Amino acid sequence: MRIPTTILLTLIAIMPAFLSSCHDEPEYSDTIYGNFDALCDIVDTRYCFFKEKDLDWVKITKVYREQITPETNSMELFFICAAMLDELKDGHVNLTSRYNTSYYRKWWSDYPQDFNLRTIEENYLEFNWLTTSGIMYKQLPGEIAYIYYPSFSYIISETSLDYILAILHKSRGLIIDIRNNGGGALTNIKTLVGRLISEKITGGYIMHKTGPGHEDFSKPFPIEYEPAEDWHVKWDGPVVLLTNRSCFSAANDFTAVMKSLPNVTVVGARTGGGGGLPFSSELPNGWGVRFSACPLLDSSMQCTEFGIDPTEGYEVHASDEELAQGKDAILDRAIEMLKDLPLPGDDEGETEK
Amino acid sequence: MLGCGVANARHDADRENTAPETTGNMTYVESRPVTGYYSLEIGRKSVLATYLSPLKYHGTSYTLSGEWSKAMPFNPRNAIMHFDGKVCFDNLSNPAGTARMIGLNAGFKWGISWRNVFPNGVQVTGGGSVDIDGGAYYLLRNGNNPVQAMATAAISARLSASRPFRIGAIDFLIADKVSVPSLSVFFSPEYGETYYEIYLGNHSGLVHAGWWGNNFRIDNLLSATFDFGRTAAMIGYRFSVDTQWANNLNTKIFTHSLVLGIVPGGIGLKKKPVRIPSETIYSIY
Repeated sequence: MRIPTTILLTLIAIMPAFLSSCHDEPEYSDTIYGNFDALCDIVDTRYCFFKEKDLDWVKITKVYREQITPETNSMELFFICAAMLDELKDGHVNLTSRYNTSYYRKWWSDYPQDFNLRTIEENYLEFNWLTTSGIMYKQLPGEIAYIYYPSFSYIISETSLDYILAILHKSRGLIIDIRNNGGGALTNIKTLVGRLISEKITGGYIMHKTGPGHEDFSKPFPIEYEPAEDWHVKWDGPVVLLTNRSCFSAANDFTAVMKSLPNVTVVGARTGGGGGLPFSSELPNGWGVRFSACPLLDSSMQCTEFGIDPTEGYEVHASDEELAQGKDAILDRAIEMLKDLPLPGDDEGETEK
Repeated sequence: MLGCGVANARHDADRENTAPETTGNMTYVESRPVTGYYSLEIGRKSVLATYLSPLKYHGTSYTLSGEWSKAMPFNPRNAIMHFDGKVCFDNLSNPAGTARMIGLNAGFKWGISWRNVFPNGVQVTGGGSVDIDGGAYYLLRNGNNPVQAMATAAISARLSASRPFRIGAIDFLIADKVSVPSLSVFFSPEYGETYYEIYLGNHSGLVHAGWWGNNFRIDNLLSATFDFGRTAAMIGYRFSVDTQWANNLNTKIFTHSLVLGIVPGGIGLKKKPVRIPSETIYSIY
């Protein structure tokens, strides 16, 4: 019986090696064509804005595939792929190699900047402001509260926000300046918005792809914002949000949420968009690729990928010439809107807490 | 280590069913001892998790595992209860070596098996277990999709075959154990869903009923355990497959490991010297 027993044990041992899953994935070779095809398929199955941008991805990939030859080297392939990705016109799309990260810049470079931080620092803040959690803040002349939040990558602590709002509470209105804010963590939006609302709101919606098809999407899921806990300092006065074309991604989403609030006016220029949460993937040669994967919608279920307009009648631009002379037309407009409002407690004895 | 554990359980059960032993004028009854295997596993792992990447990651897997078995009181000759636990750490990289993936997983199994011993010494067991596995694969380069979380509860079929051998003065047991989770409940994010959306409260489509068609898994251990009396040493080869197909996402994990283990107390193949209670020194404080 020794031989049959040994055979039996061996068969049991190697049996799993012959079993395989029913669902095979395409495998790409680490060649010029293999990497190109992998990139095309990743974008084809994962990117979320083909319909909104009326893109024929098959046609686009065909055009760029014709630029590749067996003699194409790796660096040439990188720039061909980068140019192909630029066709998506999406600031959330990058191709990353060891020597470069491609980036579509025209979402902001083709538009006026409408902002100069030095002008603000010198002429409005007079080089004298407070900073916490990455936020610069000061009460401007005329009792107007001013906050500049340069990036949603700075995590806002609740304690910092308590101090900021407590220090600025005796003001006629609050200006939140997010110009040149390129985005960051969406969770910061909840922190900020929670201080400006008194009841739960649906500030927008999020969707995700459910399959590889261009229209395989989930139902929009509401993103709800809740007021901060009672013990935190809140602001229920008028708010002016300043935007420009370089407000992107989380800053774009923040603008969409803020615009839906009744006490908020958005002043400045249309934001830059970036209304899709990006996913990451990679090619066989190790290059990373990032692309929009989850559309974010505003509170009226409209796509935010193309940016958020200012409140109607409040589109303002700040020319480079004026900014160079120390004048910020967008900030001036906000100050003008708030300067004649009553101070909290002046009219009905109401005091901000 | 069911295949090996049952050998010990058999031996223990045999002792259980013998009359109380008498040594001198002392009488004592042996209990049903727990046979415990403690193992270190080092192996090669391949992970394809299309939520994270379309590429297969390869690297080294390290596992600490423990397996305990015990004869059941209602039928100590044939029924064996077992409990397995493991913690696994994986260090993987993509084919180009430009990105790193870290895996951390833990698993527990509890089950009962039925044992049959044939006259030629071959012992075969069959049974089932309830398994709980959880963990995550973290791809450091990814932004909003950095983690493939793994969570499964399953009912598994377990089979084992073993046979003791002796070469010279060396007693050893060759065993093979296979475990196949057959019905399961497992977690999978949706195709393009971020964990942020799950955090926001969208929990639909995350939990799936599994069977061999969408959650095929198998774990096979071929081992040789050398009994030295008061202890035993085990060397083995483990091959495991863990596949998952849900929400158009494919996960395939293959592991080949060298298993090195010890069994305090041995596995009962080698006759132990009878311990006379009067010769045992106890510490009294």
